[in-house]
Amino acid sequence: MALEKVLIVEDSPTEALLARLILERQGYQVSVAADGKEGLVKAAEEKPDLIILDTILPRMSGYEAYQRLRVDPRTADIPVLMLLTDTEATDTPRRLGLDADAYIAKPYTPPLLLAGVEQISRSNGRQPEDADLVEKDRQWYHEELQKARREAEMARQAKSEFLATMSHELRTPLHEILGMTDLVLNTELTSEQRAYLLTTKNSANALLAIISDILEFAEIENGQLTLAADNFDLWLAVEKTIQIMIPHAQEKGLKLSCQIAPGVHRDLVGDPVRLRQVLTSLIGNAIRFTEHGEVAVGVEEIVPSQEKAGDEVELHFHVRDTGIGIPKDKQDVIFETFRQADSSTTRQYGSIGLGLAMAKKLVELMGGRIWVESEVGQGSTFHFTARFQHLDQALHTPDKTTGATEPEQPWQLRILVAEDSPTNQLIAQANLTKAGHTVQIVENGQKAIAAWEQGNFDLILMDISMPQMDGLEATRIIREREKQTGRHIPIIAMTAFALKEYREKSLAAGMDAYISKPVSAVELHQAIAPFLKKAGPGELPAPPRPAVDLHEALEVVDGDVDLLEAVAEVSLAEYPEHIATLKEALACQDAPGVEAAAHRLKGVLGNLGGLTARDAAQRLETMAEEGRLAGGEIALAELETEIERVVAFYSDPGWKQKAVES
Amino acid sequence: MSRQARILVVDDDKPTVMIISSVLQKQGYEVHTAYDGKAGLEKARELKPDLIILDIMMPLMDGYQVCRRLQNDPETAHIAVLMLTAKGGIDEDVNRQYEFATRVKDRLAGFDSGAVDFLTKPVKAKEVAQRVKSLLWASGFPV
Repeated sequence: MALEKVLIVEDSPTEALLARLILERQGYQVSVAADGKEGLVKAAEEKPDLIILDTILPRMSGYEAYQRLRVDPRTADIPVLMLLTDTEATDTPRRLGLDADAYIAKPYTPPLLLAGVEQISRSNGRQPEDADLVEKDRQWYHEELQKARREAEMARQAKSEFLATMSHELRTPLHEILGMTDLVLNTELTSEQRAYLLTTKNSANALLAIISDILEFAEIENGQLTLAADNFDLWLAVEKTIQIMIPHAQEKGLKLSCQIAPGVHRDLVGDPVRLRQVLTSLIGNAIRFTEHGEVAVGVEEIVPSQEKAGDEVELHFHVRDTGIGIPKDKQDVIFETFRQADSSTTRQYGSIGLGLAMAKKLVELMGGRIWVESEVGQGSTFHFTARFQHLDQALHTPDKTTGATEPEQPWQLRILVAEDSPTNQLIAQANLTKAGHTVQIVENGQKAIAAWEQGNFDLILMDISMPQMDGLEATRIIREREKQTGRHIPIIAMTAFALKEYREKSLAAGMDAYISKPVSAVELHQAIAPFLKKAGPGELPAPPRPAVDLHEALEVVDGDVDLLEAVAEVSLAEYPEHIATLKEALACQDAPGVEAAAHRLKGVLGNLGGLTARDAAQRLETMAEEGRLAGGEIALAELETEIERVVAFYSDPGWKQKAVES
Repeated sequence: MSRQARILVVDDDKPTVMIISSVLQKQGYEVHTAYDGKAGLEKARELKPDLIILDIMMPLMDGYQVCRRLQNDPETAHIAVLMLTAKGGIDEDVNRQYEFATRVKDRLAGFDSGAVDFLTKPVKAKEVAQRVKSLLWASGFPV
């Protein structure tokens, strides 16, 4: 029996086009379906002689589609050639009890696909008793397969190498352009010249970001990307993402808010980095395409229809904006590679449209789907779902004492700011109100106490040195009076003194944290972030991830506490120099300089068991290594905060006791 | 051979040098230190140590260069070199794969330049002691 009509069920347009071209050149009549459901319908209607079926498909997986094809009498006899991604072991189909007529691993070459199709074609017309021919066929096919696989592997390697080389080749001159632009920007220029140069610099930075995007997308396409299965805290993952995006929203005067529904599991197993990547991409898009109004992020848990006592949760994330919106007929194409709703948006809003395609791939890897609801002129809401394992059983075994409901997150806080300098008052007010908080400002410690007693605040930002009564004194009094009520309002010191003794003093007075002045938006948000997710008054802030993993540090010195102390002393005396080098390199956009300094800090912190700080240094190092210095300041601020925590840890003499005990 | 093994530690990161030398001194080895590649090379030529622990990223001359020069000099070519490499993957590393590739690259370059083994930073005292012991044993020292 000769094959004539072939149905390709494949969601990637490029892959589908490729397969179609290969087959049409051989005279086959080809039609294409883009997902499992459409594939079933077309198979029943068109009655093809052969179905080529991809395994990973939207709406219905290839495996499920295959099972249904076999069950339906209209399609049960149609031979099926299954396309496996190379991450699927070759024995997967057999494990799943599939018995398709042939399998091909992706990425395939034209001869390999044709070999598969011809094999089916021959086997269908073959006389079963001709065993010799069968064996010859099998061998020929096997050889062809091996050859094609080698070719495919070589092609893939070549592609990877090409991409790596290209990106390097592109980055080097780009860095030079950026470096030179900065040099010229540092000379005397007319405002017109400066404006032109700044545009040049922005464009070059945008180009760098695109190159990184392409590299990463290629990795995903290649199937080189696998998801991690790490324990992570959902709240923390979402919150960190929001923190990073807040400055971008502020720049455009937009409000960025986030709501995690009560009762959502937070101790999950999955890939927090990829989750954050998807969120960042959607929030970034929302900010980019919104001129006025707000961007609101929400997370809910999808309650399973049956009361399945499994440990898997499906979460529903949504990002709503009040931006330009997307026309109905474009809502599907935006998830395709290099597609945007309108090519003119690229000119107006930048980006090349890889973000959503990448988000889609990642969401699918996380076992979910992504879609959009939008009205032109009203705004858009992007939704996606993702599946995770969860660790806590809180929802299934309700805690009687608390009713097991998590308090909602008040992202908007009522903040009391005690600060005598008018300039600093302005900065704090502007930064906090932009982020959606309500602010009351007083100019000394006495007034702070009075306001605290009258008002209902979630948080106090307290200057240390103020006329009449300083912040330390005011804090002591507040803490004293709180003893009667048993409450504890978070108080964060704002200090111009970056000195350790002042920090110790502020903590001794009863303050919960400190930040140094002038207060930057990023630093401020980092300092108050631990309190953002706290429930109302009366609760102490949750301890963040420990700054120092003492166990790790002790392993470095094999339990020698005195040696660790000496190492800590030398390291902490040395680190400000590294930070200074880092800042200087960052200011000059000197990527190799940033990389080297971050690398050294990473080493220093690793010896001390400062794991979160070390990871922060690693992030900066990686960014620099890839030439992505755009978010460098934020990463640096994060690193500094983390280092401060390590410093604080080793500055408290109590650590030695803990070390000896452990 | 009854004398104590002589070991040279070369790293610009002082705390790391402290840790390694302290560990090795506790084992009874004769330990010398240098804080950049050039000084390391000079001390290696002068002291002829039995083993060199060498960092890769250093000012003036990096670990590969030091290693290569040691290999090209008949006086020092026999000295075993244990190279220090940074740890790659971290839990939040967005570019895990890229990172990993870089580290492999580090190692290959290290072997190319003549290193015989690697230690990953942050170093662990026990691991340092064990690795040094095995390397010295391989160079003819009694265990």
